[in-house]
Amino acid sequence: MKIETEKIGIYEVENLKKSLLQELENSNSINIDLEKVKKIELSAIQLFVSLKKSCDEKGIVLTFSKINEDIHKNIEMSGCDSFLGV
Amino acid sequence: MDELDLFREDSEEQLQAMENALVEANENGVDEEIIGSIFRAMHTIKGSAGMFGFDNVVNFTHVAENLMSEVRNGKVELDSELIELFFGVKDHVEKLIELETASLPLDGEVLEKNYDLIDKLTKKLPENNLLNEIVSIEQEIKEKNDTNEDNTMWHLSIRLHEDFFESGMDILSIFSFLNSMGEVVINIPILNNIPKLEDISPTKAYIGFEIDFMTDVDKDMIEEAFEFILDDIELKVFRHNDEKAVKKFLENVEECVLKELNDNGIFEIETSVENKKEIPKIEEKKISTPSKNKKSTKNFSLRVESTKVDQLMNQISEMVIANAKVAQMAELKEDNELEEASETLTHLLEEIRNSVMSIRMVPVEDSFIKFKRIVTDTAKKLGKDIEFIITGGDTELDKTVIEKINDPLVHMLRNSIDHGIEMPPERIAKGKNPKGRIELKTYPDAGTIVIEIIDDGAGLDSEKLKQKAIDKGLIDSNANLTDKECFELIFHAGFSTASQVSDISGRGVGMDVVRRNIEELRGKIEIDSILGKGTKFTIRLPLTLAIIDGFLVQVGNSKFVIPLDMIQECIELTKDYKEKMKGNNFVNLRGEILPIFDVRKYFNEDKSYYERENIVVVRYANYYIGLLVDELFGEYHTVIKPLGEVFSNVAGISGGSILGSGEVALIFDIPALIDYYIKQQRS
Repeated sequence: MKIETEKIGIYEVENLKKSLLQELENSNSINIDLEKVKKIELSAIQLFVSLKKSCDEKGIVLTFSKINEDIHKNIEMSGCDSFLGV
Repeated sequence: MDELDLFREDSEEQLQAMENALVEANENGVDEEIIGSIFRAMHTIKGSAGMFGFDNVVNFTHVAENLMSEVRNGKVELDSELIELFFGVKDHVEKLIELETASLPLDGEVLEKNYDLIDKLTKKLPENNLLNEIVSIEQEIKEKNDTNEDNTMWHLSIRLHEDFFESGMDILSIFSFLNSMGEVVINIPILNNIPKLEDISPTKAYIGFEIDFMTDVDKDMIEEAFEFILDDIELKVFRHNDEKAVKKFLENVEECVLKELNDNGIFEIETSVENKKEIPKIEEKKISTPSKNKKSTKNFSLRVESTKVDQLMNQISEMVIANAKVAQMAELKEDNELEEASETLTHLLEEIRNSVMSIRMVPVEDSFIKFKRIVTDTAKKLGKDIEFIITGGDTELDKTVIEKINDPLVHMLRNSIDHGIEMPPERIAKGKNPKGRIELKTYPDAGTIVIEIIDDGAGLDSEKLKQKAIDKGLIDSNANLTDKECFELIFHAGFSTASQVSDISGRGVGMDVVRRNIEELRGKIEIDSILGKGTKFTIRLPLTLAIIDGFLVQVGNSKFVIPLDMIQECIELTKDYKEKMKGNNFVNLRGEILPIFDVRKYFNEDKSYYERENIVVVRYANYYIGLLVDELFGEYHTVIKPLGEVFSNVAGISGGSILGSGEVALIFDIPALIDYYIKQQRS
């Protein structure tokens, strides 16, 4: 699943949740492509943690790809990097 | 108000305090408080800017703060040269904030200024500090990883309130700032409260953090990093080696958090958990330390959007109207109990109204003190020497009014310096003190606030003004004007008395705007001047903008409200008085002639069915006038409601009000009525 917005934060998380739920229902493995994302806020990282919890419960493999340096730094700063496996 | 606005406002206040301190230092010498103010401004702005990632501001204020720290330690003297340099620092930080908050890059000129000021500031540092500064910049990253003796390990426990994300702040930028103050050694996110995707409300915050943070800064500075979000989080900060604090924390922490801390080897949890049961519960009252007591009684400031205060004021205003209706009904129904209850409510409403109004009232000095620098700078630029005095600075005025009066005052002060005060040789030749004098005086008077700008300069030349007005075609060459009317010519658009237009004033676009701005605040401006001696500008402003204590009267078939503060007395117009008037428009009031203004005639009101007529004596500035009205109803607390565009320019009416009966009562604009009367008499 490719995220098409440059920023994911408080204004994007509602829609993002809907898309992620669809993925969760229809896929055995989920890959989140973050190539286009230039800015990520904690609300979005929290949503990915939530997704990861659901994936773990359902035995779905969750991966993240094409993460740029800034996004990686932010996820790292939140301390969620190891939980999310990025 | 979003966080960025808050940052702007806070920085503005800090910089203003810094400028005030610098002005004070220039005038009365340096003391600890002054040094503290300058240091605090740089320190606070650096901290706040760091949270937003405004690196240019952080880097610059860091150097300034460092130098001020040396001043605080007595290693560098805050002499006049350094004071001057810090004036420049203040202006530059203001510029940097303006650019950073607008996401604009530093352009060539600002960048050049940046380098220049940093160079000047670092040169002022003692040698050893300068070396340290260089070393710290070069080895910043390396040093971060070192644990020198000064560094302390702190633990930060953070829980976000559910609506945290709505605050608009991203806590990650604060974590990033923490890294510039020290090193976040470990950050354990607390994820157990985050629901699964199916159940999560994505705009709510569930996450928390347990952070170990190594730094050489103190607890206050760490907490300051969170200043803008303190209302949106729960924050605990304590030293790792503070056994008591650690025990207390562990006693109250959730099991899952304990596990996380344990898994990450923080606080040697196993021992602590084992000991947990043995830790005696200390009664709260026994551990109430003096500092704790202090906290509970400490006054604190709340930053509230001014629109919220306005809204509160409007709601109270509506209650005043509703209560007036209750009072009227009680009177009609002759219900004493209800009348009493309504009276109590009236008093309470009055108290609430005064309390709310006092929120908006601030001493004018806080705002006026910044004029000192404007006067000093302008005088310096013109080669003049001026003593600037502020009196009555503790007079309180609505903050909105103060803000709106700022620009007119700046313009008038510049005018006084530029056109009023003569050059020192000219003053000496006139036998005056070479040092000019400008006084900014504020005091309350008859329900208004008066602001005077008095200078001992050249004064206004009425003949010269008149000739200029004739040349410009503003008045007829035969016009017969009093001195005061000649002075008022300077309020005409495009009128400038300066023979040479300067960049300080004299562009001829100012004084008409000044008068318009003052009139928009329902104020008035007057000029008195004596040629060769000086000029006095007198501005009168209403104390309040929304509610007035009024006096209700009947004129013809309409009811009107007169602002109570302006009423001197009421007289019944008896037969005896009428006979003595002999058809003239004045009465003899205890030996003084009192002009009478027939309100009924002015507003084309029908003849009244009331038998009695009354005179309400009102005063504005030095003018007294008797308003001829019919019935007097007495004191009436009323709310000024704007009349809308159609009626906004009706001379003599400042607004309307709704009475308890639902009737509309118009509020007299006494200054306008007096103005009209004077003009009518002259013509």
